[in-house]
Amino acid sequence: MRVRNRGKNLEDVELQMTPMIDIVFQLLIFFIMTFKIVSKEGDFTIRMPIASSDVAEPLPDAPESVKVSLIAGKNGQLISASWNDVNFEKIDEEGDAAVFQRLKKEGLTEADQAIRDRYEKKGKAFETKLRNKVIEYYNGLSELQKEKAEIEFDVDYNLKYVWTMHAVAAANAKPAEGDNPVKKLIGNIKFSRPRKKP
Amino acid sequence: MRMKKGREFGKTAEADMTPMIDMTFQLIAFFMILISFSKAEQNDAIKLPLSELANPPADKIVKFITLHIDRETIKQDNVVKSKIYFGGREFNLEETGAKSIKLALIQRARVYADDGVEKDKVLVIIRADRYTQTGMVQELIRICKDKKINFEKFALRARKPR
Repeated sequence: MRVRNRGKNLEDVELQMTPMIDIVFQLLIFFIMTFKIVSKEGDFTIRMPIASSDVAEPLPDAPESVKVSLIAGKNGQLISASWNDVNFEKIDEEGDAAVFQRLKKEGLTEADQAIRDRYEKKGKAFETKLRNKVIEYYNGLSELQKEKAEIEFDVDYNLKYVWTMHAVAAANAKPAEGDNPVKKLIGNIKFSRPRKKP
Repeated sequence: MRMKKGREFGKTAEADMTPMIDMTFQLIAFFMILISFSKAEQNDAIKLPLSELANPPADKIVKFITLHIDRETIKQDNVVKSKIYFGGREFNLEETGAKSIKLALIQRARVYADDGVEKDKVLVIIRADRYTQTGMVQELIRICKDKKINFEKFALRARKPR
């Protein structure tokens, strides 16, 4: 491998490039293998949802609690949502079933993705609707009440979690838009007793 | 490899590169195996729901435990129920499963108690897959609020969309 000089160029230090390039390749491969794209994860805190009495005590001095009920259909998708027992959102599951049949006939993988996209859109629409109601309620409170406001979610057992998160996100805050920063809404979120499975 | 015959005593020290490269390879392999992402915090099997508002907490949470719960799947007409992952172990919420996860949580609660950490300082982070049944998450929370475990602060985790 090395050409050994026989005493002539004792002053010159020869730099061997081959092993250096090998090491560089090794390091490159190492960093490529260990490169992991990690999405940021964030938390929504909820307040002692289920106490020993199975419903959390309301905070003192709080305005009257708001109850949002979410009803799930057979597939765990949201079909109806109510604010203090007043329905504000209805998602037609039957109509969807027909659409899904048609989509499935047209090709399985596209149908699944199309179904997911439709529900993603519905989820966002629902979140916006619920958030508007929360904003309306929130703006009607006094400053002190705003701090203590809380919202209770009464959720069907088999409702898919993604819908619950849409609801929690809707109640928690309004995302930043343009120059407006994130606006915090109701910070105290709790859940009712879980409804037993049928 | 090194020819000793006829070698003159040189004034400069010749460093043979071969063993140095070998050691470097050893170190690289060592670090590659060492850096493995801990399953206690991450667990890629779970696809978190997406939310614009999911920002990492501003202040560093000191004491927390992470509970993962995946979705119900259907395998060959059998319904495979959601599983719970905690501390690198797998649990289910059936009869025996509920007992074993309670035990695991009691142990963890005791560790915190022995360390002098107050229960209301421990945050329970729940990483639930987006298609989990919400009732399962509620049951998990209820287990954590059991008298012997008594965790008080909960957080539902979501992912920020890219």
